[in-house]
Parts: sequence; structure tokens; C-alpha cells
Amino acid sequence: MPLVRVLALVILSKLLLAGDGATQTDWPSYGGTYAAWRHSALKQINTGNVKNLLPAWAFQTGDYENGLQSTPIAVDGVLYLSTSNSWAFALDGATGRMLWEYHYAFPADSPALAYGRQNRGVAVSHGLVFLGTPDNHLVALNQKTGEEVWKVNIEDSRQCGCNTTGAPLAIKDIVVAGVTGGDSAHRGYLTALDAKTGRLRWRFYTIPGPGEPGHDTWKGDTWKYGGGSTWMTGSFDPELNLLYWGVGNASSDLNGSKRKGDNLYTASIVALDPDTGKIKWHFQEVPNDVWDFDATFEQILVDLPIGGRTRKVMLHPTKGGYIWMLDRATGEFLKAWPFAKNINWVAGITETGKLAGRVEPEVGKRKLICPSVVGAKNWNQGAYSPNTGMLYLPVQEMCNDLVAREENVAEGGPSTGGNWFIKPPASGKAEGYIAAFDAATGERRWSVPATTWIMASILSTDGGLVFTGDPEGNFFALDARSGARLWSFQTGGGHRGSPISYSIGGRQYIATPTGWGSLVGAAHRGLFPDAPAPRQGSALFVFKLPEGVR
Amino acid sequence: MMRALLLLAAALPLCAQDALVARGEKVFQTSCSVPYCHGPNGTAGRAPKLVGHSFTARELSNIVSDGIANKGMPAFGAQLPADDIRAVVGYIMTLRGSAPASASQTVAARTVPEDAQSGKALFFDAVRMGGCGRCHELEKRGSRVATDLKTAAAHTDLRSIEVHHVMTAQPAGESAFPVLVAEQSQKRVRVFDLSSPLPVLRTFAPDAVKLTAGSAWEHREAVSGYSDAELQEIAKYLQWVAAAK
Repeated sequence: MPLVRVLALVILSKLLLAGDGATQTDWPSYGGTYAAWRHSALKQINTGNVKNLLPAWAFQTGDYENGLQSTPIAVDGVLYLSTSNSWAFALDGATGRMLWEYHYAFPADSPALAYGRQNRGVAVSHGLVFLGTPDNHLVALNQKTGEEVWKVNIEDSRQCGCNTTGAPLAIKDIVVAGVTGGDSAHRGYLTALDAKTGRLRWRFYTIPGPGEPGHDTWKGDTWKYGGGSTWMTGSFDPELNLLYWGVGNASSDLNGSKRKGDNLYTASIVALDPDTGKIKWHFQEVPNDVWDFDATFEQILVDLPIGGRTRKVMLHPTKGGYIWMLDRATGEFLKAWPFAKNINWVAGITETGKLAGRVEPEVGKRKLICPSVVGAKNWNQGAYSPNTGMLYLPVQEMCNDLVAREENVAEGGPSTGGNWFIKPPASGKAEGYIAAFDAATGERRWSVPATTWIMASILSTDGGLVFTGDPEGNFFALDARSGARLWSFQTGGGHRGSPISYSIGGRQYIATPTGWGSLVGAAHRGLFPDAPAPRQGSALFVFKLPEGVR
Repeated sequence: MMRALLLLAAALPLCAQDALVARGEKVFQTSCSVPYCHGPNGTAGRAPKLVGHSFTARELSNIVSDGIANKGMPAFGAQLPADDIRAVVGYIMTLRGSAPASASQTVAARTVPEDAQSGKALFFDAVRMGGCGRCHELEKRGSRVATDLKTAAAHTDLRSIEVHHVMTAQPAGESAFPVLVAEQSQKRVRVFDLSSPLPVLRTFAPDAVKLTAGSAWEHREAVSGYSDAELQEIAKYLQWVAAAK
């Protein structure tokens, strides 16, 4: 083998081994790369010239159900975008010209669907575009034509009270789909299908069945209805060959009296062998969860200096207001730190990662718990920049009164075990902001208040910028080091989606979905009665620098 | 002047009504629409859609105050002040529609007799990834992949059911597999691949797949996860379905 080729191979494998989680010209996966940094290595648009950023094109999807909550995928200059009714589009990334569109066909007698119609994005691999549906199907489309290639009913949504709203994750030769149902009488799972044929590769139940380790953490039949949904998207470490997924709350949500025990693997991170679906390790953040504190949000895979050596860690921000740091090779707890101010559901987290001083809901009595069910952070994702070493998170300060309730549940039916009254914290004012933390130490570097709150994801770039949008319709750029606001554009719709960056022919683009929606978004006017209602809609806005600007 | 005063007096209740609805909307947004219940503006999340409902104010007031036992609807009477309940009822009344309740809401489902209930549970057993329901739809549950059992004769031996309609598909560059044909037109061929525990509806260009009659596939493969006793229970359920059709 010629030396040049050997060197090239060495360099290539070094790049892969370094676990570089930044995207380059494409935005190939939900979290950018499998490491879920939501960070682009592109830097044509930077702190010096972002003030000149202008719209290049916009695309109206025409699907106004529940806003545009998607993360577009960018591959070879084409964007793949999905909407709440499981419509999918392929768009020319430079011009916005539509190359194809696909509208998922619901059965004529489609009933009201659990958790409403929402969709957070597609996955692309093997010449296929993978799309989940509100009636719990996974569909594979031809990447070139948008024609349906295969379709699988994951589980009857009428029976399970569950569906697919998250973006699938395409890794190796499989596509992995999560499922909602954490507030239904349902047993959660992950499903891996062969990417090319759609055939089942494996099913991992998040609640162990009889005879499996962990089954004894459930009482009686509660394991069959214990929640443990997987409604967001996981991460993957190719070098360790570990698939990570966050598992949702235990159910009945607010009443744990019938399911005494830890309730594995709810409110946990699980690491699976992607080839078999077998569990390699787990870490439970909230044993016997009674607050609806999912562990489903992003798992950010970074290598950080911890205690004098570089460790492969996972950063995991959660509803409960803590960022958990785990060793992602072993699942060992390293540390946890609070990222919100209003936290009272626990007094703290011990040095070994246990909850201390739990404040639990009671039957028939309103009790103030912070953060709220919406979370100190909701599903909209944070970003990690390798340049600043900072983690950027959308944070909200709000609480709720919780009331637990005794209830009998039926398969697939509601199983909340109580109810929620969302309210401001003791200060009397609900607030939202973007906060930057040192990813290794947890030290807060800066925070920038929102007019109301931030329910869109965050994008960071090598241009030293952080982008996100607000419910008032502004899409804006901050200086990643200081938080200084450098640019803003009014898109005319509230932001509840996830911006990305990509490049075509040496030109960098920033794309953001716009259009307010979602179940949690419905709380806006109740929380901020003096603010105007966020505008709905469903459009993708794409920005670039004018010709000649450097 | 008198006329102006009269107009003002007539307008007052309307203003009060608006204020009540506005307050009710706020109560609704913080207590009813999130997180998984009635959805944004009553358009439904996990709980019933309220847009276009046909409840009277009195009915709503009772439901909001007393809840609905075992349906997930809390009794807010003990949790919210009476004024808030009045306000939220006022708001929900603005979502009322004129259409009568749909048939599906008013016609009660037939009750499965006791001796067929365990068979029904086994038929749709979630622990077995949906069991028979992965391929058959009954009582608005399951998947419409295979034979419609509402119109089929009831079988007693579920292992040895004849499956003449299962064919063999041979796509280019792939091994052959057993299928049920869902669509065969000039434009495309759609088949359910039965080789996967969750059937896959695959779409081919007509010249990209060769279909031949017959298959080595047997129904006993589909029911291999059930014991003899369980299959007998399922047969009882299917007999009830056949008799009730």
C-alpha cells in the first residue's frame, strides 16, 4: 500500500476515533452527528460578519398542525424536512426548490391519537429517508423520489396509547425508533429495524419482563403498564459500539404507591449493543419517579478532562434541573450539577449520584414542586462547542402544584396518577433564558434572558456563534463566549424547532424551522398572560451572507 | 343620556362574560391543556378533544368538579376555587360545536363475554408484541395485514389453518420470502413481508419483484409463541366474534 494511502487511512481513522462530534458540510443526523453536539465546524458566518446575514429562501410546508418542531437533515446539498402530520419534503439546500414531497396517508377511520400529531424529524441512510408517524408506524422513503419503500406498524396506537414523534436514529445497517406512551398504561421499548428491508432486528423493552434482571423492581402487574417511553432520539458511540437512549418517566406518573421499588429502567440512561439490542449498562437518575421527570433528552458525548485525565463522558440535561455526567464506557456516575435556580423536588444529589431529600406529591393535596412537568429544560436541545468548551442550554424557571390520585388504569389508557397546575416560582414570574456552562466543571459562564422563554433548540458554530429562536418569532445569534446579541431576524412565527447549519459549494447556510405548536407550547399564554400569543405556522427559513461579504 | 346608560348596562354582562372567558382560558392553559391532556385550545392531546363538544354548561361543571372515575379526569372541585371552575366552564363553552356527538361516542361497544375475555387479551397480547393482532384486526384493534376474521369462519385449530393465499416474493438481489399481496397494479406491487415478526409492507416497481403462488410458510409459525391452552382460549374469542357478526 502506498505510504500516502496509509497516511490517509491513519488520518481518517484518527478523525473518527477522536469522536469529533461537530458537523461539517452536512447535518447528517438528528443531533448533528451521533454525538449530539448540535455544533457545526463551519465558520464562514462568524462574530464579525453575522450582522450582514440575510434570508436566502423560505419554504412553507402547508402543514399547520402543532407547529414545525423538526430538525432538518442536510445531505449532499439536499434538506430533508418533516412536519407534524408526517409529511416529508426534500428541498434544494441552495434555492429551496422542492424536489419531492410525501404525505403520510392516515387510515380513513384514524381515531384521535395519543399525544397529538407531532414530528421532530427524519433520519437518512442507505438511500432512504426514515419517518415516524403519529399512528406509530415507521416509514422508509426513497431518498431520490420520496416514494414509499417500506412501512411497519410498530404497535397498534389504538391499543397502546402510544405513537412515534421523535426522529429515528439510523446507525450501522439499522434504524432505531423510540415510542411515546409514558403517561399511558404502556410498557415502553425501542425497536430496531433492518434499514433496507424494514425487518425487525430487535426489540428492547425498557421494563424487564419476568425472569430478566430488574423485573423485581416492579410490584405485581405494574411492569406491563409502567411507562418508560423512549420518545426522543438517542446517541451512538461507534468506537465503543454503544447505542445510548434516554428512558422516560415511570407511570402512573405522580403516584408510585402501586409500583414500590426502583422501577428499572424508567428515568434512566441505557447503553445497548446495537447489533443485538442487549443492555450493556444502565444508570438510573430517578428511582421510583413520581414527578414525571423523563430522562429522554439529549445525551451529549464528549471527551473531557476530569480529575486530571481525559474521560469519555456523556452530559445529560434533564427535566429535573440537573446535568448528569456519566462515564459513557461504563455508566459510572461522575457528577451532577443544577442548571436551574428553582429546584425543590430533591434537596440535592449525593456524591454517588443518589437523590437526597425527595419531596413527593401526595394524594388529594396540592403541593408546590419545582421545576414543573415542562422541565427546567424541555425536549428542545442544547449545544456543545468544542471551541469554548461550553454547553448552551435553554432553561426555564417555573413550578407546578402536583396532586396525586388513586386510579385504576386500563391498557393504553391515561395513567397520570394525578394532575398538574403549572405556575410561576415563588418570585411570581415565570422566566426563560439561554445559559452557558463550562461543560467540565458546570460553572455558569453567562445567561441571556428571553422575553418569555426559549422553546427552540440551540445551534453553535465554529464561527463563535450560538443561534436559537424565541416564541415572539425572533431568530437570533449570540456571541458564544459572551452571550452578546449580534443579529436577529423576525420570521413571523414562534420557534419550537431546531436550527442547523450546512454548506453547499463553499457557502455556509443557517436553517431554522419556525411556527409555534406542541402540547407544552399550549401553556404559553397561561404562564405569560401579558405576552402576545406566539404565532403558529410551519416554515423553514434559510440564511446566508450576501455575495462578497467575508 | 338615558339611552346611553341603557346601552352601557346592556354591555356590562358581555364584558363580564369576556373577562370570565379570558380567566377561564388561563385556567385551561395551566391546568387542562398541559401536559398531555386536552391539548392546545382543546384540540386534544391525551384526553378527549373539546373543540366542537356538545356538553351543556351544567354537564361540564359537574365533570370538572367531580372528575370521571378511572378515566383520568381529575375532580377539580377539591383543587380549584369555585370561581376558577366557573371561569373554565365558561371558556370550554366557547369551544362548543353544533354537531351531535359522533356515533362512535354514543354507541357502546359490545361486551366480550367472560369466557372469551382471556382469549381476547391473548390475541392482542402486548407482551408478545401484539400477538395475533400484529396481522389481524378485530374490534378496531390490531393490523389489517391478513384475513379479516370478522368475515372468516371460526377455526378451532389455529396452527393448521390453510394459507393458500400466502405467496413467495423474489426481489432482485434478495432471498425469497413469504408475502401477502396488498396491491398489484401497473404502477407498483405492494406486499406484506411475513418473514419479520412485525410484518413489513414493501413497495416494488412491478418488474423489480417476482411473485409466485404458494409458500412454505405455515400459520403455525405465526402462533408459535402461544401454548395449546392459550390457543384454545383464543379460539373461544374467535368463536364469539364469528357468532356475533
